[in-house]
Amino acid sequence: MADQEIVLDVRDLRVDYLGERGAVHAVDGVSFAIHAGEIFGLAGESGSGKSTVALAILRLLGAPAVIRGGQVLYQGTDILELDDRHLRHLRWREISMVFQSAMNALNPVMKISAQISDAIRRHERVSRHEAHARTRDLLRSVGIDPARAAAYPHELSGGMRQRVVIAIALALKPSLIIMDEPTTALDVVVQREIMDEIKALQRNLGFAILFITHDMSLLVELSDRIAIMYAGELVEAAPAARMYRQPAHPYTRGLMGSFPALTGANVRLTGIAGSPPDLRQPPSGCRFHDRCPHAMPICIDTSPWPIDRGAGQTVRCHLYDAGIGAADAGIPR
Amino acid sequence: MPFLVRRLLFYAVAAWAAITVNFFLPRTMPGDPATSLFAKQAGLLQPAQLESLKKAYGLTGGSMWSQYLTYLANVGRGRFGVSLSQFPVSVTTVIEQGLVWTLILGLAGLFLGFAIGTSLGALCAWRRGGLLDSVLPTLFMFIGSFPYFFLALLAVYVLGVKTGWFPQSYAYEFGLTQGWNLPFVRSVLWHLVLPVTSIVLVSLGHWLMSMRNTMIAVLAEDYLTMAEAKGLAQWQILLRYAARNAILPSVTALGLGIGFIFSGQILTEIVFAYPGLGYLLFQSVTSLDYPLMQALFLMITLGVLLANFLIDFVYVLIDPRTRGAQAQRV
Repeated sequence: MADQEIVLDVRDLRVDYLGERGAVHAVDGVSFAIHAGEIFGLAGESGSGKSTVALAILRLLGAPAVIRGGQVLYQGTDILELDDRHLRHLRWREISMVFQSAMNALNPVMKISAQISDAIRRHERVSRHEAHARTRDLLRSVGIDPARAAAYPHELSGGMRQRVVIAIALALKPSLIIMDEPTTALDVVVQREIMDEIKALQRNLGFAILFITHDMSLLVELSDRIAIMYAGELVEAAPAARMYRQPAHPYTRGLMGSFPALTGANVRLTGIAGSPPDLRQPPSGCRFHDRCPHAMPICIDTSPWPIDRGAGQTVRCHLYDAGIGAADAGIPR
Repeated sequence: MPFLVRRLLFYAVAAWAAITVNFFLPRTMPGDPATSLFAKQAGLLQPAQLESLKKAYGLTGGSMWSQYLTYLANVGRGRFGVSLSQFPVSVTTVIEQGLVWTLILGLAGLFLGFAIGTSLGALCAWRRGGLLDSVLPTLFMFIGSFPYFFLALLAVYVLGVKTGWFPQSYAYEFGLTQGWNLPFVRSVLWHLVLPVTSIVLVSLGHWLMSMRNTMIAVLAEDYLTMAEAKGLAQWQILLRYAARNAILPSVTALGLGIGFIFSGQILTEIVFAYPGLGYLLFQSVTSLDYPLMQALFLMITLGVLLANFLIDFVYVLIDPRTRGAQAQRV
């Protein structure tokens, strides 16, 4: 996977939400790269900035949000530098998106066929007839009877609506699809069906996916690689299997719900204590230090840097710092 | 049962209720309103006029039940008796003449206000915080907060009397042949300018704010972000995604507005001496023309009902959600 072509290269992305009581640094220096045809998972709790990253990639952030810096390179071109015309040209044709709530992502007063074909006809010179034929094919490919093309969104169930949204995302055969919690609003059974559908489509069509969720078990099963966000920063990135077996960052371990009893005594840890910090004044040093069970004096004043743990795993935590960390003493591997 | 059939039934029942109330209300008063009126105006009313009064109230002799049926039949055939103030012209004829002018003035004012206000509101929301958005809402809310008659009289004084640019009163110039001929149509349009402008000016702020505020809410919806992500053209997003959804409440208001055309422009018609229903109602009240008054009240009620029905119909056309959902609920 590593020597494959890179589709999207996000470098040092910074996004602020401007407010009366100061700017919220929602995304603060996030970097990652997505390879062609790979499923890249981005996880973190609510407010960690993961959705903001998704929206920033296509420059869809509205008023109070400002992209402060960084680059979003799509096959070499920086999306953040594109003019309006080229941006509109790139949107959906190269990178499409499946939104968080299937319920609200569709225009309630337009037939679903019209919402698929308007995207097709915007980017490709095809006849109305051809657009219609493709719309039917797309619906069929996500498991919806093409006869329902004339339906309005409210006439479909939640699961079907999300399928429609996925069909729209596939319409122009993009090389990357950003999926922002695509199954969060659905019940478990439907969620499972949709996930299988997505995997099958991805295998057949070969697009890359940036999959955003807070559901680690889902990510571990689905993704090739996973990155973890905390308080606007990437704290760890690793291949999915490695992330599952050997999560390094204490926060990741909390997310996995797999904190081991360190001393063998009765240490009962349920999830992660405390709540995410106020990003107007991010904590000094490591942003996780006040919630971290392994915090050391250095964590309070020095921000950790990325440390390569081998096998594609990178972590930002002083525990793994040669000379500083207590990793070898306390935390396995 | 199809949605529209059910609505139609509902309105038929409502109309029947209005007519029935109109019949029974005078009868809850002690005595006979027609005779007491006749007595009060002793000598001024002729016996023939008393007859028409009684007919208007349905006081046609016989039992209450048969009176009621006679009244219903009369209403059904559009017979409301004879006008007292314009004796012996029938109430129906008087109303017919007024109705045309009211509809022309009312619809022109309402639709122009709706079209201009809604478009401006959409633009303000689209460029929120821009130049348009910082000037127009305040300006038109300011104008709209003037007492209407003040604004109307000002228009008459400045644009009618002082400069003489526009005619000050009535619906057309006297001495012209009524009908589809150029001088008459031109005169009608010319006479419409001042009253219509006054109506549009005061209503613009309301249309603008309503559209602007709804659209700002719609612009925050996920489907707008998705439309943006799809790379659609700005006009497509503005019209098909944003305005198309934001206009729904304004259409309801438009429908209600049509209903109130029959009663709501009394001031306009009085200030500009425009010979519509409002002006008639005003005259019928001052001259105690009860048959005319009663028929006008019925007209106003039925007008509101009709407008509501129309709007139900239009709503089904523009909001697909009302088609299935309402049918299933009932």
